Amino acid sequence: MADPSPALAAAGLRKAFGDRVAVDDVTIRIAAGESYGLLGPNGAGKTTTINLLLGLLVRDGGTVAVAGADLDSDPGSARRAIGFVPQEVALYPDLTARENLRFFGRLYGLRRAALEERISEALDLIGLADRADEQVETYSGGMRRRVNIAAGLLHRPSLLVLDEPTVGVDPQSRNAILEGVARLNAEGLAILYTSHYMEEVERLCDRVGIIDRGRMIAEGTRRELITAIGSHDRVDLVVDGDLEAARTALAGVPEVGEVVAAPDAEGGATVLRALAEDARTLLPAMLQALDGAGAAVTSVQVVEPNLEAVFLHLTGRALRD
Amino acid sequence: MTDVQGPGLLRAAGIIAARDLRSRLRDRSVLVVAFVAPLALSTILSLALSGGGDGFATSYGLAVADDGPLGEGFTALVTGPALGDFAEVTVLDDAAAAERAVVDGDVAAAWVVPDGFSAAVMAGDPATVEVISDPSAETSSAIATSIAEGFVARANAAGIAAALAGGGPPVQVEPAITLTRADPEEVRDVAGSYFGPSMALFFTFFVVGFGPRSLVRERDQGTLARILAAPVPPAAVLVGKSIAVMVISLACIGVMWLGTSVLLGASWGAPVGVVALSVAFVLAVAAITGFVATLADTERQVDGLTSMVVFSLALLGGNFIQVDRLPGVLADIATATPNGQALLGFVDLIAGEPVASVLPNVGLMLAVAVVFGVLALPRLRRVVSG
Repeated sequence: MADPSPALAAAGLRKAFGDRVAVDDVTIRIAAGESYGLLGPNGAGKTTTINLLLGLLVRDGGTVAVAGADLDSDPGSARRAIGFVPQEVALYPDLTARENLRFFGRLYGLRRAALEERISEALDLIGLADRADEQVETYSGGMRRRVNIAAGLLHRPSLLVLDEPTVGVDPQSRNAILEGVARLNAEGLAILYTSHYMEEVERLCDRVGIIDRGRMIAEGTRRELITAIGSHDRVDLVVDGDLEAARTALAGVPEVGEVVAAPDAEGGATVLRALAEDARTLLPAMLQALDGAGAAVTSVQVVEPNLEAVFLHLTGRALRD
Repeated sequence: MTDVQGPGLLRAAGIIAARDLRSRLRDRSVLVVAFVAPLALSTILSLALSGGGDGFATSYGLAVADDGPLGEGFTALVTGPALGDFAEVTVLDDAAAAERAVVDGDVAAAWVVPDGFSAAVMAGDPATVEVISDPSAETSSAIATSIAEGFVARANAAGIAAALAGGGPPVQVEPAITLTRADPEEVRDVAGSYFGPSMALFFTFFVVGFGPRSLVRERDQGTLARILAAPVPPAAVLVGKSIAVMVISLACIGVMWLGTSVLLGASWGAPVGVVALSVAFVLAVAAITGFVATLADTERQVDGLTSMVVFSLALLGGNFIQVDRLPGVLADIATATPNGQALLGFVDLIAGEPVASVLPNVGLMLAVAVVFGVLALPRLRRVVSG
């Protein structure tokens, strides 16, 4: 059986506003069922890229195909394959949640019993079935965000595009949204998630594209990106016994880099700090070496470099500058 | 992959129009602007105009062909301060002009003093002051008749005095006044019904303005992007919003038509003409406000600009002063506005003119709609497509 069409195949996207190039030769490919994070600071071109993918802006160049349907030659099929969750809560405040969902569902061609069934499912999914007939303007910000997401899911798309869906959301609602998106992805829905919150993208996405000033400056899995910049994991170990013997044993483990002894954050115990390319893989060998040196390990902490470090390395600026 | 097909243009437009209408009907301010306010205001204006209020005012015509002392005296009487506060007197050329002014509804009544009136009275010959009146303006007619009777009594006294001064016997002159009521069928009883359509059109300006304003609001709140991300033709947004505007605007005019007819006994004239004028007016105003909305960046700016345009058109077009009674330049300006054209058409319909008489007005409004529509559409498309 042939591989299914990618959820999204966009190549060479370009958009300029006057002299300012907002998106410059951006290519994104998302496999069916994959979750992809588009990470970049505010103004990097994330929303413009999304608008190009959705056909909301006219492209200056490039092609877009969604679930095998070309956005230019078969816009109806391409649009039907996308569920869109805009950055702002794009709902009618004077309508109830159910009425909002009914309106957007109808725009995707859902009708009568099938529409009502999907609405009920969506309301159950976001936990608002009991308040479905209240006007959205009476909802909290988090509840509105949940309805905002449900409106993008009604027609069961192949690709769900979420443009910074947690901006301005309290931590509890943010967590609920992230869990919900992860669950949808686990059920096979491909996700394109834009954010300038590095931790959200790290938590949700199989692959990440880092965009800055309209250009895709890096792409890959989190591990690939970190490895590409030559950054290392850090392993902090608290041990009982001969500290110098333990340090020597640890330094002798292949692929373990520099090992130093340093006081811990509280200034109490001494911590052995080792650098490694992939600490989780090397950890068994490191523990075995320490055991062989007669050192008892009382605490282990692996500190992995994050995408913030990758962005800093690539641009010389922090993500939230 | 999704298992549904998107709606076509018309179905999508219908879905969008239905949602717009639902929101409008839930918005009490819209209901007030579209239905309550115009009905209340037209009732007040109609009552005031029919003399129901404290500030009674009327207008008279005066045609004096007599160049003798009695003719001059009568002219001095009715154009002097005695009538100044409540009656405006227009001097007319002759009896025919006086009759035409009454029939056209320009004045409530007119006095006609014929040539040789003074000489006839002095000679003791029969002489007549004619009062031509609009049968529907009873109070004004009664006042005009009373003034004429008072004048005739004094004229009699003058005749008697003249006879005595000449040494002749006293002359008994018969009451020399005739009251002529114009044919009700011919009188353009426009004033009582005028403020029905004029207020309906005035508030329809605002109702129509909701359409372009809602488009800008939807753009700002993100729902427009969400609609356009769906498998619907972008034109469906403009078509849907236009349908909603047409429905609620025509409903506003329809309610006013029914309300003023039932409550105030107003007659708007031939229904086909009323519908034609209303549709053409809504199209013209939709095109104008649509164009104006594209000049603004925010909903607040749209509000400000459309309000400015609406009030200017209302003031210039005759929504507050009967359009066919505007003087000189103002009358010319009124004819250049869509509401002025609509109201001129309504004046004709109210006066009983046939539907054909309003076709030029309808044509001019449609021309305005086409011109502003052509200007507005590409700009509105840019609002829609970003």
